Amino acid sequence: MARPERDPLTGQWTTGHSWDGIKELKTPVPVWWVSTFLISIAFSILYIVLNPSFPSPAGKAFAMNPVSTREGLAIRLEEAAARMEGMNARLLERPLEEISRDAELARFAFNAGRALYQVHCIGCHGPGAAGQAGQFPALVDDDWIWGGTKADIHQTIRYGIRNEDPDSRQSQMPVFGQILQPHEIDQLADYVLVMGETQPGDARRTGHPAHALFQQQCASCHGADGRGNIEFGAPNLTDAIWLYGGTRAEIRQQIAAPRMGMMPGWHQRLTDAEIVALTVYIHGLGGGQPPRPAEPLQSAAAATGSSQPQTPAAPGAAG
Amino acid sequence: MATHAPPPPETTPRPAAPAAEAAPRPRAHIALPAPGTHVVRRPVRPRPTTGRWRRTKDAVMAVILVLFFILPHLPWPRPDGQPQQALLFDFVGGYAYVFPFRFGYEDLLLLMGLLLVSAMGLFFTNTLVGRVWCGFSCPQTVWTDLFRKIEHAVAPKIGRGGARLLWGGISLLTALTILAYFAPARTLWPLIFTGEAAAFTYVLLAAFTLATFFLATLVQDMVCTHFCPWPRFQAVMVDRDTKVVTYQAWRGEPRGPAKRKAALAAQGTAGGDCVDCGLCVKVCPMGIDIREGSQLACIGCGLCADACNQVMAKLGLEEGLIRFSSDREQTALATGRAEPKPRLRARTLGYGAMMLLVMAVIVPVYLDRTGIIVHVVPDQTGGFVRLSDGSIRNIYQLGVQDGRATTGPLLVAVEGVPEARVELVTPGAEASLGNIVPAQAPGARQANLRMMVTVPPGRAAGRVPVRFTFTPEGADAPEAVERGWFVGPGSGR
Ligand code: SF4
Ligand code: SF4
Repeated sequence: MARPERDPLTGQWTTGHSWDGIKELKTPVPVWWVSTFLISIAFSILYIVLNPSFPSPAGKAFAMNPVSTREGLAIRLEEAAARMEGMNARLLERPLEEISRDAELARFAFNAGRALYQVHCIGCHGPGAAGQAGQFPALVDDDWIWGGTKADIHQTIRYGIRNEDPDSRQSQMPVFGQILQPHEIDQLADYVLVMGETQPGDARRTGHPAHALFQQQCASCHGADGRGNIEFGAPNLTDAIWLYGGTRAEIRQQIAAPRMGMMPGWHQRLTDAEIVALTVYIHGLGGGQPPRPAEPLQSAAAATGSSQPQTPAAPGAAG
Repeated sequence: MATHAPPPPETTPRPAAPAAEAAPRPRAHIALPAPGTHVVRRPVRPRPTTGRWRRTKDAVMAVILVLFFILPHLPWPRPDGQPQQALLFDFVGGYAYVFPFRFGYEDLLLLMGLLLVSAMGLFFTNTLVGRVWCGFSCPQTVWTDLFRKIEHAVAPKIGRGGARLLWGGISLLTALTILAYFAPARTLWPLIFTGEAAAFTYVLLAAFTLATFFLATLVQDMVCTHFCPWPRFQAVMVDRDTKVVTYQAWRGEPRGPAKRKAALAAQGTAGGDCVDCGLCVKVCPMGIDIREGSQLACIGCGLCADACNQVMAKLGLEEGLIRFSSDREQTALATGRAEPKPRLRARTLGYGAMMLLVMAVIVPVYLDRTGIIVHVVPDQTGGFVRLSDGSIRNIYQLGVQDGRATTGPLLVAVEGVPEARVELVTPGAEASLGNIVPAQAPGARQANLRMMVTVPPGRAAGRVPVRFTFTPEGADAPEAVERGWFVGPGSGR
């Protein structure tokens, strides 16, 4: 340690440290800098005292100002819910079919529906609502097993399909493997394929060996022309959409040992307004159908009271 | 850091002058530090001067100040709903209005290009003449200079307090003007004066006023030596051919009062031209002594050259003892050779070429801009959707930002797959818009639509590259084109 001395060249003092004869000029940081530094330290101490900074078993230690981001979130969620209250009330007041006439309400319903979809529905129907072949139907196409009007979709979401709820959509396809002979099933599968290529009354249909068998065994649900019936969730057999596959083997398999989808009823988990929002979203994905002519306009509240609509499916859905 | 003797200034080799160096020089009137230590005497209170560079500085300053204070008040006719101010950076609305042009976020590439051109321009001039930007046109220099001018003009009459008051007024006016570039002056200023503007506006106003006041009065030259990054690296663009403000030591040394030189001359030793009057130091806005050689703090304003020229004129000597000159010139002159011709250097050409190159990129980008930006993102269907008639549908999210001066409907078409039918839907709305993007409301930033493209069975297989075209109604050619994919059967799904 050498004594501080004045450097002859610059006229400045040295620090007094010397390493191998090399000395360092003393050029302290400016006063304003040091003061800022000290003020910052004082501020951080004050901050620690005022705000929760250390966890303790009893919660947060030394917090004079007990801010809690968790509570803050709860408050913000409540505020958001309060903000949406008015919109949700409007969703319930309006008849389902009229929501889209109110652009603001429609946008709200669609966005709320998308958020709900991404939490509750995405697991089965997929992120783009394209379904999963062999398991869950697509919601973006124009074919609806249980109906594609807003009222149909609302009913399906609310009570679900083939679950324990007595209000859920129910139907049961017989296990034809136990009823019919294998060659009959083969012929039926072939008949189903022919139906996809022909119009009702076509000679290839009426002359088909399984024509009478189809009318006897299948027509009660799938219709004499094979176009299905949304009341029973019996799919249209003449269109290009095959949930369980459209090859001869897959059709045969489905006749012999049918698979049938299930869906939970969401009224136990979602509010009425949420179900309406979800309905608007699903209906707006591209495949939603207009109301059937005979169907009276009813609000969601009225629709949920009654059972499912008993009007026949609109023909021509299969374009 | 260390006590090693700093290297002598490289740019001005001092010819040995043993006789004069040995003799003690009277320096009592100003404490000159050892060469190369670059110590700035504080506070810097430069003396006003006159001359060629001062006049240039005044002219540049006048242009900059007039433009700065006037520009936001120029009107410009625009369609309804748009500001009528010629120059406005409307952050809230998301547009920059520059006379006939309107730039949005979609034009950020242009801004990047403009910044690059500016940077290259700065580098380009720096290789030629050093820090002229700093010395003549930097706002820090201009405002500091303005404040000093005001002080010199009014302090003798109304005192320093009066000068301070004037400074405060100009700072406030500067702050008001800065705000007027970002919010229309005609609506903002009355709000500010009536006390009805938002609280944050006053915070900003106070911040800009105080910043202007303190930067131009207290901090002054310290911005250039302590805050600004430019002087830190500008020196690497200076080379032996860059003309910077230079004290011609070979001519000035040995310095000394005229009387002593006469005595030296009597002994047969010639003295230098510098009479060591210290004027060059007294006028320097950075408080440095250029006779120590080219140094970091020098902003190249040329005021020392002006001051020295006055002295030289009085002494009947040739002007230009301090002048813009390059190291190569000085080396030649010091050794008695002829002044070399200016050389064209690779770095000058390089920066110039880069400037032109960036311009060559951004000008076509500018000419090509339609103001319409489209984003087509496939929806997460994981491929295609089969409809009941067997046709194949792809679903996209479509975002359209229409930045055209007057918006109108856009017709969307898909090229690449035959018989493709485009259908647009506003999310939540029932009615299909067909293939028409409706005209956007003024001020709307983006239309978000669901776009469904449907192709009859058997027309598309696998992943097909497609082009989405957006054509204004009635136009022949599309204004915007976006590339994408159409996914059909046989693509793994
Ligand atoms: S040394 Fe001369 S050129 Fe450099 S800043 Fe001072 S007056 Fe200006
Ligand atoms: S103004 Fe010129 S003569 Fe006077 S000290 Fe400076 S360089 Fe020397």
